Amino acid sequence: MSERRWNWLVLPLLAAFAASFIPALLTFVLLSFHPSAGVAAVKPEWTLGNYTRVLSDPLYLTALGRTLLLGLLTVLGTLVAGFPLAYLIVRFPSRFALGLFTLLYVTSLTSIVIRGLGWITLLGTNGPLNRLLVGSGLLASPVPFMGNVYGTSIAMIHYMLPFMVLTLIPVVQTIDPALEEAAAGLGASFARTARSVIIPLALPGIVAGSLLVFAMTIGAFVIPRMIGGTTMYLMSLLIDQQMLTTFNYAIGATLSCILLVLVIGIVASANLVLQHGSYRR
Amino acid sequence: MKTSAVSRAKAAEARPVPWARLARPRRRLLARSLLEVWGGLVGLFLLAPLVIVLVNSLGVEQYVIFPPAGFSLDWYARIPSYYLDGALYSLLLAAAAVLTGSLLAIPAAIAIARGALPGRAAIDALLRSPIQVPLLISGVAFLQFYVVVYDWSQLTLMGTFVGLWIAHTIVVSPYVLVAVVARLSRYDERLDEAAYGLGASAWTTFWRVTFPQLQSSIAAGMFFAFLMSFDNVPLTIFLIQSGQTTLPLALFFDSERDLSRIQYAVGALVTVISTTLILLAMRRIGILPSEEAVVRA
Repeated sequence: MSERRWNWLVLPLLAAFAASFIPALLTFVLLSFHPSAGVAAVKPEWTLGNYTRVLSDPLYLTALGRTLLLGLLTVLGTLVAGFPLAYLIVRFPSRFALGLFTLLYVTSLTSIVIRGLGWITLLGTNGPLNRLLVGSGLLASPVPFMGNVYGTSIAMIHYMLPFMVLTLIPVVQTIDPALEEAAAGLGASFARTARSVIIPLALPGIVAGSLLVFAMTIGAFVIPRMIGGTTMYLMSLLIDQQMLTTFNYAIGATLSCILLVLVIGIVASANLVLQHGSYRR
Repeated sequence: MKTSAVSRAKAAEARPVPWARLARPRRRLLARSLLEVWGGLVGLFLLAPLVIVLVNSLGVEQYVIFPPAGFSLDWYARIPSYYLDGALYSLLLAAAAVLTGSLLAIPAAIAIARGALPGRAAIDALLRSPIQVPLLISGVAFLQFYVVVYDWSQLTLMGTFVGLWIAHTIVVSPYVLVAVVARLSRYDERLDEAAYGLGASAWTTFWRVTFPQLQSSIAAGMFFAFLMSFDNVPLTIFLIQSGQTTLPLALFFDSERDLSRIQYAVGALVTVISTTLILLAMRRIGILPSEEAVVRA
């Protein structure tokens, strides 16, 4: 059975990419090296001015910093919420755990905009979350969650949790339960077993999953816009503003390039961790 | 008396079990209970926004406060028609994109999984790349590309259905590609060899032996691709024409300009319908989350 006979089948999709996606990416990368010429246009001469402007302007740098903070908060939240869940589903697969898994999956398929609507109410100053925190005495007065990175990260955790859990489940599956049994047999409490056996063995997968969630979070648009609003400066929101409000395609392209380089770099690191870590599929 | 390992082991079996081993079942039970409590809390967290949407849609006050003082179905009756228009447009766009995306991706998946492509890994990475690139950036890329194309050839793609269709096709094709490649990597070649041995041509073998086994993976990939296209905001926001809207876009903009219970009504309706369809589809096609959901949009 010849293998090369199947080769040509890749051509239609490859041609479609070559005619649309690749030139599209090239377009904005190239556009970022031209100065803006007003609405949706650039001048023919080349320049690094867009990059120097963006990377030295405190407004853009703050936005970049806030974007990275959002990524960090989301990763931490999804790890804290998701790792125990992944462990539960793998080690104690009762109907409860599997029902939880189905719930996770089905909610992940609901529209992100609709979930955003729910979070707008939940995170409001007089919303259920604030009332719960104040009512239970944890807070003295309501805290604003809308319009800042903290409320946004809560909604982002909700959005990213399925990806984190689905990445962590295979990771936990590679941990030999006999090792945990051995630790318990030697007298380790569950906490000690977790600290000394489970987490170290899962670490490459945890790191890879975290990097992937981080990369997805910094590129996210819908939730930051719905929860953070137009006043919270974030890379993706600024890109949207430059493209659809200011029509400064040059800066929009520049910001996009920076964001894309970050995302690709982080995803590549995640793949390296997966290949070289002790985590094996 | 010298003891051998065998006799020592036999003696150990007769001895009482040490405390650490007895304690394990109890420790495990405590750990399990704590984990299940945590799981329950996470489950509530997962449901929270959706429950809010449902309850809010039934509230009686004009102003969106939670919990509502009274209940009313009024808002469902007051849903403006542009939501339906948007929904139909989203459906059409998603169906078209999934169709073309699948027609392009399925052969490509076969070529990648079975062919002897030079630079196979690079081609595979390239064809999967739209999943890694943030949708917002793909939107920027396509919009700027379309503008450049217009400048050079007067061909208008931005703000057209065709332009959206092309962009959506590219962005959803990887989901079908990944699903089929994964299935083919688990494929039992001997079935095809048996068919060849019985005299079938390559074409016949493909259609009568290979393709039926790919069907469920193709269905799963198309299903996920459809959801990605239907719910898409960042890409669509850049490329849609000014008079037209899609369902998620309408909800998105209205929630900014004029938040009212009407959006919650639309949201509740869409969620109930889509979740019901998804649960039905999961039963019939047997879609399991593991493969496609580990890749993202």
